[in-house]
Amino acid sequence: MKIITLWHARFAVLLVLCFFTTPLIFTFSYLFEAVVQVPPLSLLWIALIGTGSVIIFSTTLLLLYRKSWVKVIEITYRKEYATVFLTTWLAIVGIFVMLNTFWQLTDYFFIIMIPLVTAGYYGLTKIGMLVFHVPLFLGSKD
Amino acid sequence: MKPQKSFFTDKVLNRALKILSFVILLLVLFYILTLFSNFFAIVFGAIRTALVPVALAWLLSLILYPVVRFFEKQGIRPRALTVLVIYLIIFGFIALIALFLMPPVVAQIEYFFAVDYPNIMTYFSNTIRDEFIFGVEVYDLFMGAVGSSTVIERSIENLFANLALLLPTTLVGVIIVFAILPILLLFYLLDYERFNEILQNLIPTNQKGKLVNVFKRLNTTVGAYVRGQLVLMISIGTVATVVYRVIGLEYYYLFGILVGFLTVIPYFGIIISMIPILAYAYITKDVGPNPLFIIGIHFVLQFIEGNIFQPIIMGRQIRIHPIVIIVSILFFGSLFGLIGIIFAAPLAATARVLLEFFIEQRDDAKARMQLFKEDVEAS
Repeated sequence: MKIITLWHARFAVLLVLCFFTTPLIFTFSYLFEAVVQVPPLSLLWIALIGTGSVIIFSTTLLLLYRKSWVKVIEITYRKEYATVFLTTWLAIVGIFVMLNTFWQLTDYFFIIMIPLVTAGYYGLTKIGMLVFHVPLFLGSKD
Repeated sequence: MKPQKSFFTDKVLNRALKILSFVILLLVLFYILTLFSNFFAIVFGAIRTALVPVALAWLLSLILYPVVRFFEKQGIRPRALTVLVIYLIIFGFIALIALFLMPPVVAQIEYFFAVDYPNIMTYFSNTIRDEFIFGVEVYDLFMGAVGSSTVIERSIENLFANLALLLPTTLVGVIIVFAILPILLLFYLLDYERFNEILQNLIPTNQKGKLVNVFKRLNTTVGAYVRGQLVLMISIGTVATVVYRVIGLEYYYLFGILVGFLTVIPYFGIIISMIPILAYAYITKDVGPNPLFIIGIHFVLQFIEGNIFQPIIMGRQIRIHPIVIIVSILFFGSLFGLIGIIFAAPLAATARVLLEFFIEQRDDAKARMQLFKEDVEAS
């Protein structure tokens, strides 16, 4: 298990946000019916602009607070991991929403979702243990 | 020969008599209480009416107080301005939900009662007869027996009569709670530290340190639990809504809200919410998604909620065993109704904190006694 600082943990969150903000925006746009009202390509542009804004904002925060966050080491980065987890979880649904919006894949929902959920679950468990030091299961002792 | 020691020593008999007298006294007390049951029902009802908005405001203040502190750290002062900003954000959020989410939800409810409700009724009266697992004859026999009996009619009449009696009081209660709640919350947030100080001043000086410690622990634990539960409800509800919509289930908003809302019951909420959705999916299986999909989705949601969300968001310190959750749901549900079911888990968390505190105190006292004995023996 590698010991990392708060700054590194938050940098990991930024990396996850880089990848998953676009599908996340798609998830919420689907929830609020924006998918029906806005053309898919425009929605993709809006999502990409949203992702860009999140990246710029997070990077600025990381640069501004670098000195103080580098000095902090915590036993577990539970809050950061919760953010990563919620983002990934909603983004997995968002990835399918994106695929469905552009290629109408409703019939293949389970075929696409089962590997996505499995991979997501495996990845999150590993990242949780290795990077954020969060044991997941109820029975785990550490 | 060594004389055999009798089990019924004076000490044992003395203890047995004490326990017996205590049990008899307790039974007499229960008997007296049953004689005044109406009086106690009225008193208990009044306490419940006063307690529910106060408890709700306290729980909400546990969610919002850290936000107040955060804003104050950012330099938004005085407290009145901070609370105003938070109220504006909350009301803005509610307005956004009312603007974007309410119209489709209302449309789905209207559509359900206009189109699907009659269809479901027809299904129960016609289709289910043909698909009855034990055959049409058994169904007819059963329905004939039900039809000739007046039990159901009487039950329905009683139900409606009780509802008619309960509805005004319940509605008034709900209106009172939601009218008073923002005001109570406002005062809680404005004078959070002052309230704590007043409570601390009520405690005898020799017990102050311990009780202040337990209050702090309660605030941290229950606050973390309530905040975590809120995040859990929103995320599970969002995922369920989107997934239902994707698989083509009608009323995805209603069912998603149901799943999100029932997530408030840890470990069992998602399974309970599956029952009506599964029933609906089964009835509409010819035009809607396969009911097995619903089982699969709820299985995944349940797995993720129980094994991942609960440990991450709730944290190890406030994890409660499922059996304790069931018992507290039954207990607080029978005491406070729906609100009792919703708040069963935080109340169980509170009970756990108190129990841990008392165990710590007991162990501490034992350790001190041991040290004292060792000191005496050494000297």
